[in-house]
Amino acid sequence: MYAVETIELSRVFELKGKSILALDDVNIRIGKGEILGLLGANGAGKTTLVKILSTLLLPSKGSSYIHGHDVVKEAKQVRRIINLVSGGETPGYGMLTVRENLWFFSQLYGLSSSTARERIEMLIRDMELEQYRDVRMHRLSTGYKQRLNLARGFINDPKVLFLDEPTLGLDVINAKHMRKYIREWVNADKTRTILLTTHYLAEAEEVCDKIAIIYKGRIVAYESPSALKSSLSNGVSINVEIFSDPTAIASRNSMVEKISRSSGVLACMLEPSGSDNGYHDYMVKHEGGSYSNGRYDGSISSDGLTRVRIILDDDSKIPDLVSTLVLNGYKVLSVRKDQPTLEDVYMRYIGMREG
Amino acid sequence: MDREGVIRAVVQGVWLGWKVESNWTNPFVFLTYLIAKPIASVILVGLVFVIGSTASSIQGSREDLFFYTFTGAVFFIYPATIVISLAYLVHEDRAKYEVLKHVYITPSSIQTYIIGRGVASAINASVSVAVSLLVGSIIFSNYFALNLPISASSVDYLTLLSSIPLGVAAFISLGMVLYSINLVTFKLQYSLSEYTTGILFLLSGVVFPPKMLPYPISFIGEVLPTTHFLNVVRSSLLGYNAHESMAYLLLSTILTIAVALIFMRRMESIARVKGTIDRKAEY
Amino acid sequence: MSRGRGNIKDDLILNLKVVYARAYVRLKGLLREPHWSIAEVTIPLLSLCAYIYMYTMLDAPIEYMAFVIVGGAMLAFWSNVLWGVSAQLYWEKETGMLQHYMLSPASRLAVLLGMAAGGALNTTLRSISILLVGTLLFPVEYNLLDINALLIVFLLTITALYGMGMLFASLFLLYGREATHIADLLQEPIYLFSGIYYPVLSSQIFSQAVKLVASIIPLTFGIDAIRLLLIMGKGMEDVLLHIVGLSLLVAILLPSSYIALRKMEDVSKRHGRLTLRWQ
Ligand SMILES: Nc1ncnc2c1ncn2[C@@H]1O[C@H](COP(=O)(O)OP(=O)(O)OP(=O)(O)O)[C@@H](O)[C@H]1O
Ligand SMILES: [Mg+2]
Repeated sequence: MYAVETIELSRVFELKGKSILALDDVNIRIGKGEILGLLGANGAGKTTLVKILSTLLLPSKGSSYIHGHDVVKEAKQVRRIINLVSGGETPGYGMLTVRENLWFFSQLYGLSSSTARERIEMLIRDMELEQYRDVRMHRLSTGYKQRLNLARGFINDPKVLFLDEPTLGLDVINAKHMRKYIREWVNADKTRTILLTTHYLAEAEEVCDKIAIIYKGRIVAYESPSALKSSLSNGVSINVEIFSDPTAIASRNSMVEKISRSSGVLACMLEPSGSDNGYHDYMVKHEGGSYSNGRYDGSISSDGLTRVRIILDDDSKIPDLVSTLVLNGYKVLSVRKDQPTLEDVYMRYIGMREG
Repeated sequence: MDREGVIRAVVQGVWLGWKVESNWTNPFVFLTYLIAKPIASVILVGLVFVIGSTASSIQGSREDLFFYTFTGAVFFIYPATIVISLAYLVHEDRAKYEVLKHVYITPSSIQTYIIGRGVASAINASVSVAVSLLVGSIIFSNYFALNLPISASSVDYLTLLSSIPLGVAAFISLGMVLYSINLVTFKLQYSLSEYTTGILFLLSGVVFPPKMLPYPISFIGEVLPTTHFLNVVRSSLLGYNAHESMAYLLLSTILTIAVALIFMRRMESIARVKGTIDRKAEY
Repeated sequence: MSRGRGNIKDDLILNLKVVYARAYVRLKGLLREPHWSIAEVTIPLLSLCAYIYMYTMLDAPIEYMAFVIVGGAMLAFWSNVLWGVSAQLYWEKETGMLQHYMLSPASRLAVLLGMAAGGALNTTLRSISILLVGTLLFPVEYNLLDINALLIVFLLTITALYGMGMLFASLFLLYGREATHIADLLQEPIYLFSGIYYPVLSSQIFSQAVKLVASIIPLTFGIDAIRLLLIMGKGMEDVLLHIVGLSLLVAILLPSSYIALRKMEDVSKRHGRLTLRWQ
């Protein structure tokens, strides 16, 4: 029996006469003791999947099971063994203290007073909320409210925990702490399971046993992080450094476009420099031969060099690519082959979907 | 700021206030606040009058008393509307829309913004007053044979029309005081305006003469601009000499404005010390 | 799916805990924020005083003072039903709490009952305070002969009122953003028709049709019966009609509130809105 299983799960939203296919034939199976990372861009359908699995939303088609319980027909059994934490959300009553809020949530699961007391104390300790135990929630800073929100997710010792972008709004240290905590929580009891959604590849790679990439409602890849990387083994990733005017966004866009259209290129993106929290442009080639572009996590270099990461289907295409660049007047400074990263995989899989 | 600048700011405030106060995008809400609630409040007072006077044996002064309570209830709409909207302003701008801090960091004066909002709600109140005066007098004369002893020819229009801006100025100042209190506190956001309208309703001779109240309390009624505003309105509607009431109204209005300006300046600096301008509500 | 006896018992215990926990939040609020209670006692007293003075000016019979005080005390319940129960689910949605109720195994009805119970309890305290202060301020006289009838009428009134509040809670949520405006709009008609400041059902002023419509609001029967029993010295036999009316309202309102709640949850899960924030 899987901890979470979905079978051809689909969900259509009707919005002003238009239908949006938010989930399209999703089949996933998460084993007990596993952390699955669900990776996708804004609007890919991550939250929709989480809402369906946590009994908040009905699917349009297909079925799903939590520990063998049908999510639609046996919602009550499911609710006993799940919990949900959405990042950036801080449910609770402001005039109640941290402890009282946790007690309140424990009662929604019918915990006996002794179990509730023990678990609350444990969670307060684990989340390092000791000094705020008797402070009213509205006095907490945003970060501490988030810790309280996370503690709330563990209050019923769920078998399956859904974490929807749990690190949203957390600083680097807190996010790290949180990832460590959930990894240990699952390791401590192999009947526990987590489904975590995120925009960050690094986050998924760090903490997840498996990664599912969701693109426009479809699961386009579903593997362990290492298997995902080796799925690119016949392809090659190269880093190219080019001299260019860093302020000319238009020229950068046209560069990305020209590279993408040269032969053998599967995807092309501007490399992040320094911080990894901005955006950068990318372009991917789809199976049918069409292209799509967008902006992806990362930031644009400002030292006069543009670093481009290019995924090629074959390393024999490298010389052709370099000559294309030179012919277009770009000053190529260096070309370097690299290990494929998850990010490449992500781009590659998005590219494989029809645009 | 030069005079032109002040005028422009007030006009902008009125325009913005009008936009916000009269939610045209939702006519249901708009009509509720502008028409339905004021009419209901006037009819309530009228019905209390009808039932109370039917149960008692008074005969002679029935119409005079009806005139007193009815006009009191109708024109009380002015202070109630203005005071409520200005007291609520802080909550609305600080917690609901989170724009208060952005208003504060602009160079324009917050006073003009408040005056604008106040004038806008006074315009709304005028509509409510006119409608409930009309609807109320029709209902009570048709169903309960209670006619207002007003004749169009004897009304002192000049006094009536000049009492309104004077009253509005006093009520906006009162609203400013409440605004300032709410700016430095959080607990009273919802209740302060209700306390105030409740006190004004009780003390300013709206439905009964304030001299019926026990002494030190009745004296407060004598100082309030609402009391004198209603006196001037009543006298001018009947065509009586309103000079004395008018003088009192003028005096109490000036007093209220002065108190409001001093108070507001004081509270604003406290707000900056306590950091309450952009703090979110605490519940 | 089979549901054993143990299961039902577990469910019951769980839901009783939920009722208690939700009511506890209410009562904690009362203690933590005493200024709410002060406001909710003082503000109604202010207008109540004004109307008593108005009756005095009109030389109305002395029992009208007590009428107004009883009306004001009962009005506290209506305010609480409107703002504390009807608007509450909407409010819980805005603060992001509602979806956590929805994903817990607790019965949604238990959550609503908890809100209602907590609200009813602390409003009873406020209501008694209003009655006491009003009685101290003015020379009113009560003439209570049948305390059992009074208790029956009071409990029926409260049950019907909070049943209505629970029904409105789901309806308000279905109607979305207008919730607070609807609550606000409902305030004055209640003053008018339920007879907060004057008798309605026993008055000659109102037509039978108006009385009938007014009786849809449980407050109308409730206030009238309580005035008859507490002030006019009447007994059970004089308020039988009120008791029947209130019982009918309870019988209609409680099941409807449950149905509306189910409907609300269904719409929410089907369309992915209502219970979820930002939507
Ligand atoms: N209640 C709704 N009504 C209509 N459309 C909806 C609703 N909820 C979601 N959608 C649409 O379904 C799609 C998937 O949305 P979803 O929230 O699942 O994305 P997501 O992957 O969680 O995105 P994000 O990273 O921004 O959180 C989007 O196109 C969204 O607009
Ligand atoms: Mg999402």
